[in-house]
Amino acid sequence: MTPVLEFENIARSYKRGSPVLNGVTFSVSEGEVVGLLGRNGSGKTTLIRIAMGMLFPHAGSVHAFGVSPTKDPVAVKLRVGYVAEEQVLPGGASIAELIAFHRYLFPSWDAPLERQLLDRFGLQAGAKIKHLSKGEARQAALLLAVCHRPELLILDEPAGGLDAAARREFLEASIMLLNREGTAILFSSHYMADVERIGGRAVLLDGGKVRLDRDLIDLRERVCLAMVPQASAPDAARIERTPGCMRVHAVSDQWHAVFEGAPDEVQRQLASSLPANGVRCIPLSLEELFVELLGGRKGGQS
Amino acid sequence: MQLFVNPSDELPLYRQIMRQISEAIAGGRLKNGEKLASHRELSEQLVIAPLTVKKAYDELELLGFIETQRGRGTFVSDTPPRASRREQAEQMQETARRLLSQAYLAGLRFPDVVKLLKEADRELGLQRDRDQGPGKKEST
Amino acid sequence: MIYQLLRRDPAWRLVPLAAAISGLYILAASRVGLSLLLFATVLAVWLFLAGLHRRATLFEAALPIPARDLFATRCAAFATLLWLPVLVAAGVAFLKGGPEWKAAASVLLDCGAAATVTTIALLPLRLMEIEGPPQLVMSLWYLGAGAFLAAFLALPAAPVLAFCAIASVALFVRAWRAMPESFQVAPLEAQKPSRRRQAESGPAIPWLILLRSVVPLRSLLFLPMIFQVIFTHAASWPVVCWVGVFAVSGLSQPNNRWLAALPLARRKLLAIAAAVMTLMVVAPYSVSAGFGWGGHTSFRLGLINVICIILVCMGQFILWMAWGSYRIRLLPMWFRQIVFIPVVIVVMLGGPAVALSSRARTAVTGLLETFLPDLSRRLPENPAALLVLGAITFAAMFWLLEKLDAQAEWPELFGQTPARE
Repeated sequence: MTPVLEFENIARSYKRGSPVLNGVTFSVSEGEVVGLLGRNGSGKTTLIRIAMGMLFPHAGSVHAFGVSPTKDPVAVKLRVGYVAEEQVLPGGASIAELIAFHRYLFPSWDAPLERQLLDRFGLQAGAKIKHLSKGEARQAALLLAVCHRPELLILDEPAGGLDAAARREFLEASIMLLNREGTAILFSSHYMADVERIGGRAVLLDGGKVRLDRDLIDLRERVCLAMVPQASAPDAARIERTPGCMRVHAVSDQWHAVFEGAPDEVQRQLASSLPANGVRCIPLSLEELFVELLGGRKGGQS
Repeated sequence: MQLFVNPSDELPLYRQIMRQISEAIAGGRLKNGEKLASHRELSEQLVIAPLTVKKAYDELELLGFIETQRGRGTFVSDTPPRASRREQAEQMQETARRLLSQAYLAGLRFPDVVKLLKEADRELGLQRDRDQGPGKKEST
Repeated sequence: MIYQLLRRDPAWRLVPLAAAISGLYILAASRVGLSLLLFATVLAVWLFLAGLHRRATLFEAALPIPARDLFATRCAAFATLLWLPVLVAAGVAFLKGGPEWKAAASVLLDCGAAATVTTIALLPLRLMEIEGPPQLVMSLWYLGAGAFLAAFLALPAAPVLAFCAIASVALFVRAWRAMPESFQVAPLEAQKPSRRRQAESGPAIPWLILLRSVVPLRSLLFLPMIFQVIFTHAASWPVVCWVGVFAVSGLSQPNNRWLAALPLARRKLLAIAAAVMTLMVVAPYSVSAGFGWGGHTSFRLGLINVICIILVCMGQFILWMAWGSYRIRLLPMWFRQIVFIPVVIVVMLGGPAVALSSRARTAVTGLLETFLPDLSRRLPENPAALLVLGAITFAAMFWLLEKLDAQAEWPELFGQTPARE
């Protein structure tokens, strides 16, 4: 089965010598929901723009529906729904004008869905974009992206700057779409709770590469945090060498180490291999995992 | 039956759903043979991915709590499962340990805990009778 | 498809306004050479307002529209933006009659031709990307259009137009063939990291950034106009006072809101804006008066003129502030429209009208020539006393300005609405 979106060894830089993306490889299959995570500036927007054909990769290849967005961007864009990170809708246009324009561009426009969403979001069709609040404008953008029934929905930080209720409404609309159409969704977000709600898989970008590419349930159950008091293990390298260790860093008077494996297993393993006592292993939420893996210095490489 | 999930909880989402459904079955809130919400409905109600709901239902089915009937939906199974005795005993031992440590921290002693357990048993009995409808006598 | 896109293009939307204003300009103008020069400058302003350096917006880049369609739309829009006003102006000039106006008509057509060729040549700069570097495009446009115009003026009309048509088509076809499938939103190649060592500590003058924020760059667009007029007749300073309003418009910009959070007295900001505004008018005046243009001989008369300039500019500033005043906006709309809009029109358009219409000009200079000597007779002889009087009036106006500023809430101007939170 052709994956809906496929990145192979993508590299791209804005300034010579400091690549933003340096060999990114992953793919999105039909009906999958993939959350793209990473620190600010880690290349999420760049990767998304490459998928849309708005940027050329300097190395590697990208294919959407088996077609290259660099060679045939119009064909790709017809089947993709895209919501940009910033507000890019022209301010002076009204929602009805934009809907008419999109209906003209996309032959597969679904008018009943449009009416349903307008109703659900509570948007006035005659309102101009510049008079809408940030949440409403974002919802209008989602409506425009979704009503032509795309096979892939790409959302670049859809919840940025929205209040909790608006974020929840956005999620609800995405899930409704997922249930109705089986659309694949690739979204980048900083709200880990939202990613855990609707995400199936998480792809973590760090240092221009894919640091993690796992199922979210797997991440929750088979990755844990070990807290080792520095007094009992002054040497971090010992912990690092233990098989399954992903990162060790110091937090006040303890070492925090992210390990592969269930908490009990890792606790047993550490208790036997290290001359340390007072080791505690706990499961990690996605947000905690993010901070433990990438926090501290910029880049988070240990 | 209203479920509630919290993504920031220690338990993964699908386990929270499993726990709530199995507790509801144990407490009599979900009757044998009762129809459960479909994947789509539950995912839209809780605002979570439908695959998460599917995983929860699949696991519950494996354990024997629920069963899927083609074309008709998902139902609470008529015969509740029996997890292996050993598993159950281990789980209950863990729960008992936690209960006792909390009680001892609060300054209670073992006889007080026993009194608490008797009271809880009485309440559960009352609730079960209430759910099963009027006309049933209270069991002590 | 192209028509749909055209309707949303900013250049297309400017066309009716540009055509109307061009017609009126030429209709009201009386001095041929000057009006043509001004016309050419204003034409450039239209083009830049319409975003000459941009081939597509981010919104369009994400839509399934081939880049060729976007480019064709932009070319069509710019062609209309250039030619419709030029044709209207040339038509009006021709209809005015008289040999010099007929010659003016052909000069206008030359302007149009030069502008078109330069525009089509520059539109595909950095073709692969969504937009070219704005400053580079603007400077190249001025150079190119100026060079072409100089060449065209020497030649008769017909070959010029033929050359323009052929060159435009050739350039368009060349760009068409080299067009990518879709535009890139960032430079294609990675940029060299800038060699300039970033200053580790701030500049020596910490308040320089304040100056840059308060005075918007676009006020500099009008400097050429000011110098043109002032250098011909120093006594015509009322004609360009209105330009100073652009210098103070920076205070109401939404991207200067960060200033409001700083422990900076509002008074300082107002003073800076007022200072820049008056400098924009006083400097050219002083230069031309210093060279003796306009017939001012005495220092005292010059001083009186300078003080009057400052006070008139302050008056404009006060009007500008009053426009944003909360109290004013509480008045019913019809009242505001009856009172304010004519005032604004007189202030904003009166200047250019006077610049071009010799009758209005003679009226103004006549007014000055009667008013000023009368005033100077009533004022004290001593320049120091003059200064004191001027300072007192200035202080009073500044106080009024501060009061108005305290209750100013800026309505949407130039389409910059702050997002409603």
